[in-house]
Amino acid sequence: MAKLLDKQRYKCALGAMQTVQAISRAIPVLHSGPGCAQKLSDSTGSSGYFSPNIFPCTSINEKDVVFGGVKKLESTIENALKVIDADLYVVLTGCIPEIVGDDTGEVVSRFADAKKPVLYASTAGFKGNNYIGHQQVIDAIIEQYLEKSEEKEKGLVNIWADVPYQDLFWLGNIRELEKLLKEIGLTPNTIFGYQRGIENINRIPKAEFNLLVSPWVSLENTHLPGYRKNR
Amino acid sequence: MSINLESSNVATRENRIGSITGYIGSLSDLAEKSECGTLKGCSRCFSQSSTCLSSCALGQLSAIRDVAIIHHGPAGCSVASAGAYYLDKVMAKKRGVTNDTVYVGTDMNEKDTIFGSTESLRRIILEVNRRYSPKAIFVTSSCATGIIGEDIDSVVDDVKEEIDVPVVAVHCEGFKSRIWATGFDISDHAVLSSIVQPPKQKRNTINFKNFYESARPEIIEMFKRFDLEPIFLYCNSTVEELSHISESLATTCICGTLGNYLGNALEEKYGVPYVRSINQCGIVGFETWLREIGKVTNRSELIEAYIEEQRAIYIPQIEEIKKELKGLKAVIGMGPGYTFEVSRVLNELGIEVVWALAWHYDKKYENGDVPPSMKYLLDHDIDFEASVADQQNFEVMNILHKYQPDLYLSRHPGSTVWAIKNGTPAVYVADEYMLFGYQHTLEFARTILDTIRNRSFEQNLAKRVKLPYTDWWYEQNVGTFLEEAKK
Repeated sequence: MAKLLDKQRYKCALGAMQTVQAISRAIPVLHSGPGCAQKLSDSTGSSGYFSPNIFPCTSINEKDVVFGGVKKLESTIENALKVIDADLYVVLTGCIPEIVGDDTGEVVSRFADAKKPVLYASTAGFKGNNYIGHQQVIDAIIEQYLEKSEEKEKGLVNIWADVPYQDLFWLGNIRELEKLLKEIGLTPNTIFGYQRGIENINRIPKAEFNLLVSPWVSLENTHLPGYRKNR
Repeated sequence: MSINLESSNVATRENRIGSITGYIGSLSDLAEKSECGTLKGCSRCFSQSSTCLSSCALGQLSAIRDVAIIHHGPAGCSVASAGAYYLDKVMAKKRGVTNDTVYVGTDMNEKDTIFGSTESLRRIILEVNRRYSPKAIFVTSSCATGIIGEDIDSVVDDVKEEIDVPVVAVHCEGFKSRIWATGFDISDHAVLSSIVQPPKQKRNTINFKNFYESARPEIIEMFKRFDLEPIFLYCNSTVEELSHISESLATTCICGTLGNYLGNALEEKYGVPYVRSINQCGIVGFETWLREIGKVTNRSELIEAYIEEQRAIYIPQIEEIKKELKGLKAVIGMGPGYTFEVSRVLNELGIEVVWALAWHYDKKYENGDVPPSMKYLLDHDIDFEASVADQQNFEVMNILHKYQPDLYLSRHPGSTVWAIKNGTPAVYVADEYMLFGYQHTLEFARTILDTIRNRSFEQNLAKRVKLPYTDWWYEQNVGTFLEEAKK
């Protein structure tokens, strides 16, 4: 139920574009209003390999609200693959398409054979805050991208910790956890920040364990049926 | 145009003044088509994220001192509150005043989108009033509340009986208009309909619509000589001050896109003349504007004396620096309130504009005329390639890559950095007074000189940076994704 949100410390689920942005060469493709990315990126800066003003966006207008925006979504994804030099495209939804009932998942499924992987996470603002959105993106990676691996890498541990860009020290926290694991003779596997990225995502199913350092965020991710299947 | 302050809703710029966000051609073609009425905006089948009109609307309103903004929507919409608090405190400190404006959200969730949340909203408004005692309360919508049809107007009407300061419904759904500047009109409409009172007595004040009043001290000083007093809007304005703006001698603004609605509305409703000259950027702009102020306030003699005195100081210096700028080629990307003004100044300084991007384009202003900055360029045979794109970075980069100009100028954060990565020296025209009058025009010319003299930073950076676009895109025509306007 709506409440007085005073001096807010979180964003909406679409804030998960930060989670995508933290994966090198992964780009969010937004099915949302034109200004969602700019608003939500106030704290994450406007440069890097990709920045929020580079994110492809369907920039939904009044007409799309009435007639639906799936056509625009399809052409946006199709052309994003041509224009933007990325290795992973994650389609994120804002409030509008989910209220008017655009079938985003169906449109994204048309890109199953695209040259680069195109995933979809439902991140409408009213569905929850950016912690929930973060989980949705991790879910999408696990369910739609990862493949089961028979092969296990001895001592390899996936680390799940801070939500990227939420705590200012998120990257330092993750790097320190990596260091600690190394000191006890294990091989850490993280996916966020420089020089990790998609190569490490591909290693996720080969890990022997998951380490989750968090009060509750990502608890569901590490228990997903699809994920268990891949272990 | 007829302004209807009885309704809380404002028609979008597209519908009111035929504004567009998609066009490629030339300045003369754009003007010709605007005048004969054949200009049609194109849409894009691929676009990048830009700006929400609510950021413009609520950015303006939250700069007013000691008010409350209640952004009714999911938590992402009200995330702008952090930036608003920061800006308010910094701007107030700079001016030596305090600003206790609050900006809250309502954290709307899925249930609210199904059952509505007007009752919660009512309680939130009353609680904000109790907790902070603001001087006015702006209750604003979002995309989500707009689509489900939340009746904010009724809630506002309802609580008005219990709250003794103005409570205003502000309709700023992000999908409403592709033109974020519609947000400026929305904020003006809210102020006009709820705070501005009919005039009781005339004052020797001038309403000066601007963004962050950085040139406030010098403008006060200058206006003193003309026995005029500027009232800067809305940054650091008080509700009391705003209630009297109908009593001013005239309204003027630093940016036609920003001030157009307020200026026209005050003229139409209360007979306050709106100064519609080209803006104060550069020499011709500044003089034309001052003379117009002189005309509407009957102070032409004082103003001519001032112009003569200032010319003697600055014109020789500007002429000197022009020698070094001659022949430079520039690309610019700004809101239309600046694109065509800055093009004029660059022309004055001997710099050739090879391509100008306007983030949107108003076919005409509220009074039905082509924007004056545009008219000036045409009357003086200044023409260049021009496009209209709502901050589409991929189009900017395509143009920079093809033209490799000496200089890129932009007024929006996150735009110049990409030019620099392309190896193009760039000037971020962040402050709206960066080209104001003689002195700042001179400083602006010096900034350009500083920027282009040593280009090793840009060159070295470009060599080491991988840009986010494919080679395929750079080979395409900039208008590849523009679709013909459909009726």
